Amino acid sequence: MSVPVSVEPTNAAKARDVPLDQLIARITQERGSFADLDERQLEKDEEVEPTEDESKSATDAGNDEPTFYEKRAQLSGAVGAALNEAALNLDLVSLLVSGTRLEAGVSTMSPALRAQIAPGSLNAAAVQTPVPGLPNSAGYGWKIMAYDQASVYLEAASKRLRGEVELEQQFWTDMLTTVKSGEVVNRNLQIRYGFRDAGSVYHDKGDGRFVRQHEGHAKLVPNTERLSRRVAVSVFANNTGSTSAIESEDEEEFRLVGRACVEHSDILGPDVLQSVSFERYKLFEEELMHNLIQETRNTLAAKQVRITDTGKLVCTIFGGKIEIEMEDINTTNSMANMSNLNTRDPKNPAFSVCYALHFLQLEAYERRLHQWQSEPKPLNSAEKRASQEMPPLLGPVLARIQCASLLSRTLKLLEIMKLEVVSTENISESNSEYLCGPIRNRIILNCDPQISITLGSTIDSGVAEFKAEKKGVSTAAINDLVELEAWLRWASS
Amino acid sequence: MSNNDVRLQSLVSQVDDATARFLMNELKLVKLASNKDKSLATVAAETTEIESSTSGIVRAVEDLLVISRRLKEAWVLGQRKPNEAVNSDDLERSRQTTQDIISQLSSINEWL
Repeated sequence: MSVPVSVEPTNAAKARDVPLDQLIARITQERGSFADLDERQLEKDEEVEPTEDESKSATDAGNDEPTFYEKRAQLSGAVGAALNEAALNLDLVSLLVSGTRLEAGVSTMSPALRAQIAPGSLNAAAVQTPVPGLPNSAGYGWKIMAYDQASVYLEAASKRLRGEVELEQQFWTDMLTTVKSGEVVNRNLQIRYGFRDAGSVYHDKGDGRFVRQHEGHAKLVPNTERLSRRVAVSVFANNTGSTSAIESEDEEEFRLVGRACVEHSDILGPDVLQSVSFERYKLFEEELMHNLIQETRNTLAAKQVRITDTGKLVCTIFGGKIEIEMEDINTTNSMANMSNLNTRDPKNPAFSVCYALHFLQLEAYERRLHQWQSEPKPLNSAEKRASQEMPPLLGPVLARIQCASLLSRTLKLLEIMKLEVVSTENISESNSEYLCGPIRNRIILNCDPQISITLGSTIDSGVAEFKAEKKGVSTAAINDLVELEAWLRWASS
Repeated sequence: MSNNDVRLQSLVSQVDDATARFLMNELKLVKLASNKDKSLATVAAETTEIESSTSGIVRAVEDLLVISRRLKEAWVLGQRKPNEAVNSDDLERSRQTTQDIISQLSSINEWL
């Protein structure tokens, strides 16, 4: 409980002991600001004080015990003295410390001491305590031992660092070769070997990074690990003559006539370049298969192309089928050897299909790159920017095979019907932007009036296969050879 | 000051720092060799200092190696091979190859 101190000095003798500024400070501490003093409280204090004085005078007369105020003054004096001594000791210690550690000493020194005495001017002599039982010459031995150890350590470190330098040299030689070969490597040793910058929109951008192997060579670590697989195309001929895949599910009815894949060609250079090239090859093959499956799902599913449970594409063509699948790089060779078919032989029927698919994918990249480079059309333009969808790959290939088959069968029919063919010409719309547009063939017959037959593929154009013309008047669509034969008999009669 | 200048300055100051540390530690090693007017306790403490100076030397050399790696990074990486002009003949030839391959597709029917 705090003891209230009167504002006016109650005891003249005591009050005189305390200087006025200290008294004011004390009153402010105990009662708060002078602004907070109010009349009522002062009156209350005045009421209390006479009784205090009376009791005090009574006790003063009774015994010599010091009053509360005296005790407090004593206590405060003792605390002040202790504080002074502690400060003095701290200054002494600080002054001593400043001799060895200047900053630590100066920071704890009092400002007065700092102003009068230069730091570090107080020194204490070191006390020499001889180590019992050891001659001073022992120090030489310690030093020699320490230097021996240091030399061993330095030698080991030099060998280690020399080896490190050689490894670094090897690594950077590899990196330099990689950069010189045209690969884009950024400062974090990240490389982009994929086709994202070349027109691909495949989800895998083909990023990787280089790490240094134990023997110093750089090694490519792709961000996504992929299996060593490639696209393999097999062409089967139908032994029974059935043209529908549904009718001839039995695998034995088909005979493998060709199998092809695009092999990874080794390039000159260090292993790291080989691995970059190999990763790029794998990515390309993976993307090609992905695009083929997407295309089948989007447009070809209704056109005699189906996807099996194992992810194989089976395209039914007249007199056989084409199978496209991902195969392990190592096993494909053995299969090709088994069937005695050279995968690199251009006469191999699968060769042209396989290479055409690869080239068309490259062509698609090029087209998209041109799209990206072209300026965007105004927003209100009716001509929309070409979509980001992959141009067809498998469709044009199958369309050409179908069209060629139709042409040969039609020519056979005309031969049987003894109708003379004047000319056969390819009237495909030449589209300079895309090599593989819709295909059309026209057969002109030697008749009077002139008859011409136009053949198309249902795969890429979606229209009927045949269209015939007599005297410049087109027929309605003709769906198959039987209908065509009937029409020809009528027209030539 | 361009970005390159800042990088250059930082590399130079790192080289200076590592070299200074290397030389200082070497000097210290030589100075510590003397045992004149030294108590055994001081000598004992100095043997530890020899050890620390030795590791300091190795550390400084390692730092120099790291700096050399950074220099190589700056020199080798980040630079790009200037784009070789695409030869229009090559482009035409590749288109021709594609067309040849596509025109061969019709021959597949001979096998069926």
